[in-house]
This record gives sequence, structure tokens and C-alpha cells, in this order.
Amino acid sequence: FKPHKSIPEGSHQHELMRHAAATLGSGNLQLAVALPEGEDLNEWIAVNTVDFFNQINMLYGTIAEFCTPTKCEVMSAGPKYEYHWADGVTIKKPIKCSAPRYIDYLMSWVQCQLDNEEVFPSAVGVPFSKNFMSIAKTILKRLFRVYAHIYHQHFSDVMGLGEEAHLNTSFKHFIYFVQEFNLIDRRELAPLQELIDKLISRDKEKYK
Amino acid sequence: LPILNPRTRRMKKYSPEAFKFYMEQHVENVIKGYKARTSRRWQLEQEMNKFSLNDASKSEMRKMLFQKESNYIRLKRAKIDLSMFDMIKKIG
Ligand SMILES: [Zn+2]
Repeated sequence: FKPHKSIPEGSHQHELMRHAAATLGSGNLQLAVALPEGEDLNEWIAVNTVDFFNQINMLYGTIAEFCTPTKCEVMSAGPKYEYHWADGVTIKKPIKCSAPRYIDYLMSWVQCQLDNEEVFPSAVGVPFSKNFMSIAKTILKRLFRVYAHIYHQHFSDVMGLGEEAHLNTSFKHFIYFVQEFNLIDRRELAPLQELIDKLISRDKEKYK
Repeated sequence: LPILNPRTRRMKKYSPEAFKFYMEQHVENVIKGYKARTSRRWQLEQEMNKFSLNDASKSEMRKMLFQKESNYIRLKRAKIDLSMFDMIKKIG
């Protein structure tokens, strides 16, 4: 991805910050992300990755009508970040495309990984492949971009649908999870770093 | 632009009510699941102490519980995948 350093921060960041407090109150999600005693790390990451995919899939499905090739000509997360799609297999050279097309590529690619029995075995007793962890990391890194796009370009749509608390809760759970196991590089999280700090500091207050 | 991969599907639309309901249930289940799993683990220790099992049997019993829990989350993942598939087939 390419950071556009020259463009100043928009005021929409403040809007995000103002609504960071709205979450579903039902206990401390940070405790629940930890690896349970005796659990296999891959198994734990697999079940949670599927959950996050389902949440993001539904969430994007609620705002998809606002995310059109004309409104979202490029896949961006605010004025400073723009993503070009490449899956490294069928598309090696990153292509610049609209956000809906990018997200379509991205979610289809993830679905394809989740459906692959060699990567995500669903029968009891079948082991995970050796490269499971690196695939899981790529999946989560890419899913983060959908959150980033929604927060930066569609937060007013989310507010219009009254689902900001649901989005914040889903995202906070996601962040706790990836931070617990160090699954996404800090620099990839940069487009939402301020929001992340805010969401987490609020919990620190609450569960002191 | 390259032709869309045949596996690519148009993103399905969801109603905000469906998403909100799903998230509320999900977060509740995550917290409940966490508490229930912690309590099963704790209960096992209580029971084993009650019957004063030796260390070898205790460790055997713990391994059995861990395996059961692990199998359970694998099956849960398989079930989620299947139900998603059904939904997509029915609607799409
Ligand atoms: Zn968009």
C-alpha cells in the first residue's frame, strides 16, 4: 500500500474519535481473545478468523449500496492511504481499481482460503498446513483494510444505519485478537491507529 | 482491467438489522463461551481433587478435556461455513 504523506488529514478523523465510545457493553473482550489453556494456536486463530470474516462480510453488506465505483473510485482509507489489489497468484502486478471491486476481490480471495480444506481443515484430526500461520496473517491484514475503508469513507453511512456501536465492537475485538498474537504489522494498522488507541484506552479505564 | 476471477461473487447485501442482531448475539456468545470454558476447566480440577486422582491420571484427564474443547471449536467452524453456504445458495 502507498501512504500519501503530502495530503493533510481530513476532519472526518475527529468524527471517528467522537464516536469511538459507542460499543456494545457486555464484558471485557480482551480476556476472551487469549489462547485458552491447552488449545492449539492454529485452531484458535482459524475459528476466530472465520468469525471476523463473517462479521466484516455482513458489515460491508450493509453499506455496499453506498460503496460504488463512482463514489469510491479507489480503495482508500482516508486521504493518506490507497490500496492496489494483487493476490500474488493470478494478479501479480498490483492493479488500481475501485473500492467495491477491490473488496470483491479481497473477500472472494479470503472465502477461497477459508474453503480450502488444506489450509482450513474442517474434519476433526486433520492437521493444519505448515504455512497456515502466514496465510492467516495475510487474511487478517487484508480484512483490516475493509474496516479501514469503512471507517474512513463510510462512517457517516454507518451512523445513518445506527450501527456504529456494532462496528466499534467488531473492530475492537479484531484489534485485541491481532494484537494478542501479533498478527498484523503495526505499520499496516496506521490508517486507524488513533482510533485503536482511543478504543483501547477506554477499556483500560473501564476494566481497571 | 483483468476479467473477474470466476470465483469472484458480487458482494451480498445485508440489512443493518441482521448485522446488528448478529453482532449482539455474537459478542454475548464470545463472553459466555469464554466463561463457560474457564468454568469447565476449573470444574475438572475440583472433581479430580474430590476423587484424589494421582498426577498421571490428572494430566490424562486434562489432555482429554483440551482435546474435546479443541474438537468443539473445529466443528463449530465447519458448521459456520456450511450454514453460510446454504444462505448464499438460497438467496443467490
Ligand atoms: Zn467505499
